[in-house]
Amino acid sequence: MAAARPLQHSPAMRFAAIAVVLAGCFYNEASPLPDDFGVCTAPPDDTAGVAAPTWYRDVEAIVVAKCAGCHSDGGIGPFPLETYGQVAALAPMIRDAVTARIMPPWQPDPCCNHYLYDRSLSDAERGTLLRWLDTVAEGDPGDAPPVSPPPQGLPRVDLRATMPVPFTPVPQVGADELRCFLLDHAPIDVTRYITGFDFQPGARGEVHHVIVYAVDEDKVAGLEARDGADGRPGWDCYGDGGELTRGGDYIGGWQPGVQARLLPDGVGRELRAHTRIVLNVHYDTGHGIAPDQSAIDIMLADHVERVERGIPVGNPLWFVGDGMAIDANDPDASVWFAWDPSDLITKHASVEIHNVMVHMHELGSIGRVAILRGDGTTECLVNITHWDFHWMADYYFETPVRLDPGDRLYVECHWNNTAGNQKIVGGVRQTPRTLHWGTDEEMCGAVLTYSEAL
Amino acid sequence: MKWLLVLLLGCGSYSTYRTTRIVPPGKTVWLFGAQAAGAAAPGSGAAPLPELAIAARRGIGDRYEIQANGTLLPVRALETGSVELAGKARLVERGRWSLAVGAAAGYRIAESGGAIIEGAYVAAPLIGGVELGRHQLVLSLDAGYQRWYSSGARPVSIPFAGESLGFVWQLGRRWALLPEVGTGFTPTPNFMTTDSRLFHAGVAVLLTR
Repeated sequence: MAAARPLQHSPAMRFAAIAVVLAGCFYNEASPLPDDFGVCTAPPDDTAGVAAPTWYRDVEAIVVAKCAGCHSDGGIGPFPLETYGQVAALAPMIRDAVTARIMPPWQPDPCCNHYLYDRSLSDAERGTLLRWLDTVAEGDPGDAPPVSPPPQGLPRVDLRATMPVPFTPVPQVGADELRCFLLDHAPIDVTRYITGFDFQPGARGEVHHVIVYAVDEDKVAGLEARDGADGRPGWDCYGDGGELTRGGDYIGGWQPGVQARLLPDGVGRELRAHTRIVLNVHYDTGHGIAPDQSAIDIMLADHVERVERGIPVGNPLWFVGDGMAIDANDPDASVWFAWDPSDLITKHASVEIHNVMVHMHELGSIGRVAILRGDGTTECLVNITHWDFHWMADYYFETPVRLDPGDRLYVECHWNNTAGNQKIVGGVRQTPRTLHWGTDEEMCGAVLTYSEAL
Repeated sequence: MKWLLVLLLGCGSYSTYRTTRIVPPGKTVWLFGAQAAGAAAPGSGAAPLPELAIAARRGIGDRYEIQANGTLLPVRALETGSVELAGKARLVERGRWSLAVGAAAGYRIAESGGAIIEGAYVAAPLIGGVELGRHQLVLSLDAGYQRWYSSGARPVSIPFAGESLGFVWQLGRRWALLPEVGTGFTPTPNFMTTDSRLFHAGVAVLLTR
């Protein structure tokens, strides 16, 4: 009989020690990107712009293009900024907001990438506007260049989906309520492709942003059961992607100031047969409460050359336990993730990225998405260094960005979980607590849309 | 990416394919298995992913054996693997009934698109066996602890406990089949749940040489 060896001296116990040392050998806590990645390091050019601007000649076009999308009569902006008198009367307040870069609200750093529907002011526009706000010189209407209002609506509407009944929001968190609705629309009998999307807010003064997606018909009964269960149309979906995170097909998003969106020529997003459209609305009741009955317009094609799809980017370990723990009172908690989607999603094809969105909740401070190229270079897709949950949006690149097999998509999120950055619920500022992944806690992720590269 | 995690949280090797039988001293049992493992969060579906298993178990006494266990999923889109060293001691053998205890420690890794999630774990099964002629019915309880790492994420601790049911179907003097199913529980939240259920199911061929 062989001599028995005590377990504590066995190879198993030695291996346990080795395994503990081995685990984490690929682990790297530090971000591979420098802190100033995608950040404008050069100071803004304070001398740019017109030296002695007048309203008609230099300023009106800037205000129409960058302010009036929200600050119009009945819009979600708390006051209209459409005429000389309206703007001149509020010059000191506007100067403060523009100087602090609070307005126009545009989160991406301009040194990261270039986007369509960019509401930010260039150095020249900003310099011109600030100088004019000191003098509010009206000038001669004859000097005015032709002001072209942004194009409105889609060239063609093939499907309209509407909230079944008016809904009056009630503030739930601060002045906000997030509500989801099953929309009424003609049956979607065959799979077609979305080539354009537009949103028609019912109460423009309170619809802050929306997310629209389609769900399979087998999920409709469950949503219908939630619809109206609390005695009000729709259902509460605060902080929740709803069915979108459970296999729903993203259709589009909207926020005030955004115009109808057309996908690049020959590109379409699949709208599958027998799906039903859901609207997720963020209401801001800070400027009044009114019934809302919004609608969306969709332009469709039977066939497209390239199908647009989505890539979610996030570390699955963030969902589990402390994988994304944000300690109470931590002024700069952060996570990051880098991943090559070619094996799982893009199937070893080069693709064009059209659009990028970062998702965090109220305590977010910095969000960035980038490409770590296979050749060792990097490309910034979006960099937000002053995150504001209320201005979360998706950003369409002026020029689609190519992603080749071997390139890795990168997302990084930071949070400020100190006392001064807590959200206010029911008029009371919350106390910092350790947060994890969750609807009422925090999240981090990026979603990009892409199609096969030309 | 969520399905990558589903496998990670599953039982993996974790000293599965259990039996109270001790390999005769000087002999080795080679094990070749195929299994599916995963985690199911309450209220959501589960996506078990397959793995191949290989193990060598060698007797070092009438009551003791040591084991080297490994698993592998050689799929380009999601490569996983684990190595584990384990020991087992038979505590009691009375008539048809027997009881054994084990201890295992391992390292597990999953890679997809250059992203790596890796972890170390320890597990301690308590194994009961009932001889049914040449065959053995096996019921085991186990408890363990996993610690997971992934660059850019915080480390994650996952204590777990579970049970498994297996049957050693002795095909001859040297060959046996061992189907086994197992479930487990961890209090660690998984995608906004309060806890998670673990499971595995597999079958292995055992060759004694």
